[in-house]
Amino acid sequence: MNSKSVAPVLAVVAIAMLPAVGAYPIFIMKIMCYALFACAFNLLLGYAGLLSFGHAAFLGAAAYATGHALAVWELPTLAGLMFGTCVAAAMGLVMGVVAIRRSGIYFAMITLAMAQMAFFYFLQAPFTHGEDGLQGIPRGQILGLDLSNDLNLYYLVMVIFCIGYAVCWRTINSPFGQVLKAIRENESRAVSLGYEVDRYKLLCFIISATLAGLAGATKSLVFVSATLSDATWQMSGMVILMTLIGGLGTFTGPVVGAIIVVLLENKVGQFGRFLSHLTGVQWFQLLGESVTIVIGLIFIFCVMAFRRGIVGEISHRLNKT
Amino acid sequence: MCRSLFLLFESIPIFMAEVFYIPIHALLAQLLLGLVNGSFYAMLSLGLAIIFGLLNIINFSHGALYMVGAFAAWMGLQYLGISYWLMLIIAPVIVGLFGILLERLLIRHLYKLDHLYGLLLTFGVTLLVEGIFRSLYGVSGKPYPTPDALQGAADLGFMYLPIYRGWVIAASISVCLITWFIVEKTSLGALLRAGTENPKLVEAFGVNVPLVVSLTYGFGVALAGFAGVLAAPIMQVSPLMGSNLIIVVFAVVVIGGMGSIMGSILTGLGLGVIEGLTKVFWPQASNTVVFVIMIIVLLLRPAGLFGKEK
Amino acid sequence: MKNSIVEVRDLHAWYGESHVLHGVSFDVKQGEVVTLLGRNGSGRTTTLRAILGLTGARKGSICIHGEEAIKLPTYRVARLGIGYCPEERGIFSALSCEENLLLPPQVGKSGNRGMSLDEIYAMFPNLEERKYSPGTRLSGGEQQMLAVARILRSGARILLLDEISEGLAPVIVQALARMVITLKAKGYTVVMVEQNFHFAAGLADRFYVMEHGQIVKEVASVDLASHRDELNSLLGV
Repeated sequence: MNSKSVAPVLAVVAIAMLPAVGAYPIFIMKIMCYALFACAFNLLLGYAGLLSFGHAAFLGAAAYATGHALAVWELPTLAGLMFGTCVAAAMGLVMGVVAIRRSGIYFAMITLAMAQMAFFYFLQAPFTHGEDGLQGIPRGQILGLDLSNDLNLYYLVMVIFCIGYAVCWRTINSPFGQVLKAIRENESRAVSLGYEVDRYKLLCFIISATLAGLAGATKSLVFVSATLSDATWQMSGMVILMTLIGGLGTFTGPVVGAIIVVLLENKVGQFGRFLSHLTGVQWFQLLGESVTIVIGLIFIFCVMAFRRGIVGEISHRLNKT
Repeated sequence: MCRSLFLLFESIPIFMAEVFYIPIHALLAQLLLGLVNGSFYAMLSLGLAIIFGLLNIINFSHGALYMVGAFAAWMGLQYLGISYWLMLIIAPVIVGLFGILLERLLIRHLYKLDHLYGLLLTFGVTLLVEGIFRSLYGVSGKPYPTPDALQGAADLGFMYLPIYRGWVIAASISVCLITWFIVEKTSLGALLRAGTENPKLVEAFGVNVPLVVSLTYGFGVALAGFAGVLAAPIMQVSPLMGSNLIIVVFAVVVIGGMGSIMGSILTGLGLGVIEGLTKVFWPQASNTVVFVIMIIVLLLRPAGLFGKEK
Repeated sequence: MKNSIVEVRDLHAWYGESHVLHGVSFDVKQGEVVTLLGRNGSGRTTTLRAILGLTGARKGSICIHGEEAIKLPTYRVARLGIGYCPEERGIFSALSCEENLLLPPQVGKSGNRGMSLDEIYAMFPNLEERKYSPGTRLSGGEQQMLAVARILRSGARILLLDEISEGLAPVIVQALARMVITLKAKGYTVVMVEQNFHFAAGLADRFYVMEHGQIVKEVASVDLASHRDELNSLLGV
């Protein structure tokens, strides 16, 4: 075993041990789902250079599809998960075929518009129950383990997370990944070398959509619900933020970003109260109540002064010395 | 091209009305509403196109600044008793100044980078601005009274025309046409057009291009602010009014292409009308018809109806 | 004694990370026509661009009429009375011929008004004929005339002309040569970048030869004949 394969093994072991040291399983599972979501997004932006502003559509679609499959069709858990993921993959194909026709900023706007279209469909379709969403999704069981036990589900989610990350890793470190990198750095050069650039972009888009769908399907198991907020443009913005904070184009960045954003969502109220007690400035309390304001500020800060993200900044410093 | 588009717009509704037995005044009322929405689409996509042409940045915060314009009008009336007519001038100025500040402090530093960062920055600004207004005023809409001079409706024989809505359409189209005239026919517009093509060369002639850029951004968002004031009496003034609108405007902009001013105006108006007609014949699809059209246009003519491949 | 109105000392310039000019120094006196010669890639165009601040980072000194310009933004440098005619001509397609002509603002120093529109049309009658055509619909020669005409209208008295004879028919090149001679007679100061040695030979007072981002030789017009062989080898003509 060389040093490169030690790190992931250690990571898996560490994750497996987290519940034993008192971490809330649901909390960590939430992080894993978002980390997978961010990893999928990072694959598209960090490695293929395509900014999708509508990735929440895949998250939401898979969540609804899996929820419906488990709750209404009463499919077994694995089948439900796969169904959700496949729905996301199909959506990825359809959206990708249309969006890839333009690039850069137009691509971003098109993905945003199509995701909004999906949102409106989810809003009106009867099976989603609109504003209420799907609630009480049965987790079912796998290999005889009852998944309504959070701890059992934890290990399933961990396995899914590892599979997802492995797929990501394999995509990046493969001849396919190399071509993607070439396209990101100099597209016209890649075209002149004879690569069918659009096909590569589309395939990357579909893989990204599928992984995002996997994250969404898993998420519906964790929270036993699927709601509209999974498919909003704000959620699309969140995954962009996670990737940006963590580090675009880095492998571990999305995980770091997911941890920070989930912590932010849960703790920003406490942090705001803490700051306002500390400084006596009432306004911090207001800040704490609005996650949106804090996220907006972080976005602005990251774009202006912190584009490499945490992992990117660290590896930049390490490379300098 | 324009002439045939116009004939199409005229004949389809009449045909549809005959076939679907929809009373003509219901149809015309929806058409009017469609024109009203279309006016907003036109003004906002015009501002977006002008900003994109010169700065190469998609201003995601356009929707939020439209909301700020509406709120400025509401706040002006609520706290200072300033009338609608005054706010029609003051609100765009406030929004424009804010825009210039934004450009000078933040956006300016991103020109050397990938254009996507501009989109991300203005997205962050959107969240910030909307977040602030949300925490101050909640999410429910605030009503804004229609100004006295524009209340009521005119009986045109074949339909009733609510005067305020007629005013919105007239004001928007006038502002759009004035903008078109300035850009296409004046020397100031020539500066803008040249700057869009080759800003460094224009600067090499001695033109203070950074100032022109700031002012252009300010003007583009002032248009959004103006649209916000116009919208205040007919749409609920709420912190969320901008975000859903901006996404549709993005689709409008992709459909029209950002190559021409007149193209943006016509596309915006046209799509508003189509959306209005869809509400009559197939209400559930009205939310998404613009997006569907966007997909069709992308498949057939990726550069957009009036676009030039940039 | 004519004094230098353009003094460049130890000018370095970068395009991003690329260090392109390695300490260029030269003078241009009032009313002179100076030519920068050299092979492609020697840094001649970059020198003109660096004077205006159109490159990346710069270091050194650029004095225009005694005023230090190295720290100034591009539009301030232009307002010191400089007119720039870029290599690619830079005619705007979204503007008509006349709009292109009227675009540059007045940059003349101490009350120097540029040529009036009538004077320009007198000097370039085909521009008047085509005044409403979109700028890029003009022929190559007409576009070159337009590119020079518009800076004449702006009141600039220091002209930076980059490869104005490039790609044009001999008849037009002759017309351009006559134009430069006329401008010189009117007291304009011209810095030209030229690939076409024969075009420049009849017009310039002094020649600088550039290589690898530095000036390697200075030759006065009167000494041209005696330096012909050396110039031939330097320029690979």
